[in-house]
Amino acid sequence: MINYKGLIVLFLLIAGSYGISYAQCCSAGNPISTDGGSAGLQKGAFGISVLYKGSTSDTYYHGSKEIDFVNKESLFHFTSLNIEYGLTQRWALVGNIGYFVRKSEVFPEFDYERYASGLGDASIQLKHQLISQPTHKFALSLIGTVKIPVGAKEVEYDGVILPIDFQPSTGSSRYSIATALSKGIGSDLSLFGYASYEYINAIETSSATYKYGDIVVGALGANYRVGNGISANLQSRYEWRDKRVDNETEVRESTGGSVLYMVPQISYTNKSAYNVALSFDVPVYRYMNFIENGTGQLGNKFMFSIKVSKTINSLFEPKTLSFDELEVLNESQFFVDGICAMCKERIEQLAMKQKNVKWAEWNMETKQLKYKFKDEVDAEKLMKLMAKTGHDTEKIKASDQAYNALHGCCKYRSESKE
Amino acid sequence: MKTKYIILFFLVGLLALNACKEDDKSDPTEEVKFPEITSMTATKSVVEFGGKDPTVISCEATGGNLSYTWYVDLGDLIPVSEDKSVIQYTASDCCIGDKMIFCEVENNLGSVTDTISIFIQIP
Repeated sequence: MINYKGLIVLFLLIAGSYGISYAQCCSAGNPISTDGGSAGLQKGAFGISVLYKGSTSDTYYHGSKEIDFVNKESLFHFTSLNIEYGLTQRWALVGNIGYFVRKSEVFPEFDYERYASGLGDASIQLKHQLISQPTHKFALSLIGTVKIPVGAKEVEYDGVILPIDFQPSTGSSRYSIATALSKGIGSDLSLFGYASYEYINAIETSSATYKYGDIVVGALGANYRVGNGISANLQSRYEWRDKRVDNETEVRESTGGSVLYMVPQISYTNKSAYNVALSFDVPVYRYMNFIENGTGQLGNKFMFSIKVSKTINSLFEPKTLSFDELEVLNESQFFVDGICAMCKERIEQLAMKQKNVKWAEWNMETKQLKYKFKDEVDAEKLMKLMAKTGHDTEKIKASDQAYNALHGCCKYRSESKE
Repeated sequence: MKTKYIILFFLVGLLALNACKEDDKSDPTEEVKFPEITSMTATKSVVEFGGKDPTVISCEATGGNLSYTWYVDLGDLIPVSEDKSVIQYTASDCCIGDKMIFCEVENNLGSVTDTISIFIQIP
């Protein structure tokens, strides 16, 4: 049952934030995105996601003021692959690589357009869940990231090696530290926050060194579970970039600045735990550093993203028994409530962890958990274990706290979706 | 027998087309030598930033079968001539100061590079 009130709230949030949007600039390196997720993966769990981000820029700014000058317009289509693995219950390792399908700049004055494509930056990230309180629905994580320029430094177009700020790869390594927190409120709403600082190493060329300004990002947002696997998310993200310094001492006054984005996002998770998220990064305020009589800085109009992700609860499936081995085992079953593929994986894994259980299968339609065993299994203990994890069974009901700690798409109680 | 003649006709035609194919635009009488840049000049060595006041840079070279590749750290190089031996250079106000522009001229015998310095200033 879809919560229509929630959908209306989401629509108003998107419409409101889009209506007051302006623009912002793009810069060398992979574009910034934060999804506000601070929850780590379970041990052995594996997550994969593919992101597309498109951006267009055609307006120049002095401070927060739009100016009547266009030297060039720019556009990019960017994709990235993200792979995450739960090392332990609290540590996760994340690998990411970005690829610019197309970066283009148009010079209206010269009726000329140039393109670039290729690998951007790769990153390796270590996430540590510092605080995890499922009963209070609170999590706090620390994230350390190293970004490496893996793309070619000298992409050429039309007889010209492209300038360093238009190359797909930054040409310098970057290091960042971040913290992310999330707090659930009720069964459908959660709040999140994110803050990061990124240090950028200098780019050395044969004639000079260029140190792009460090970046500070702060984000606050809310996620609302609408129902039927649909979630709405609204984030405000603030980005501040320091000025560029050339040859260690020459500060470029017309570089850097700050931008405040509103990022409405809508996502859908299906029963197989695939998630699709659509979002707009819409700048609502900016201040671009400038010099008097200067050209100003190019600011982007908006960015649009699509992200498809899938989490697999464990890469290491339990040992499978042969048909003959299964045939001789005893079988029993009981009712366990749940709704989706993620529930199925959780219920079956929990059952398999129980002493003497050799095989387990939960049917999503009948809600029956069938399990096979050689030596006697304590069914009541198994039911308690299910209830403790948030799943009602035929004899034991899960506490509200345990139920509320379940993932959004696993909320099977119809009353919580009304 | 007729088929044989048709095949022969097509083969001869294909050979003739291939013989006429333009493989490069260089002067066939020109002897290919190691490339040499004879001059690198700019219409202006001081340019006001903003794109409305470009300088035109020419790189003259000898050697035959030449290809040109240009490079500057920051700013915008826009080819003017078809063989890329002439380009325009402009920059925004983030590039104030001296900018070194490189031109590499290459053929199958090797390559040579020359530079020219352009100063970007506030109007």
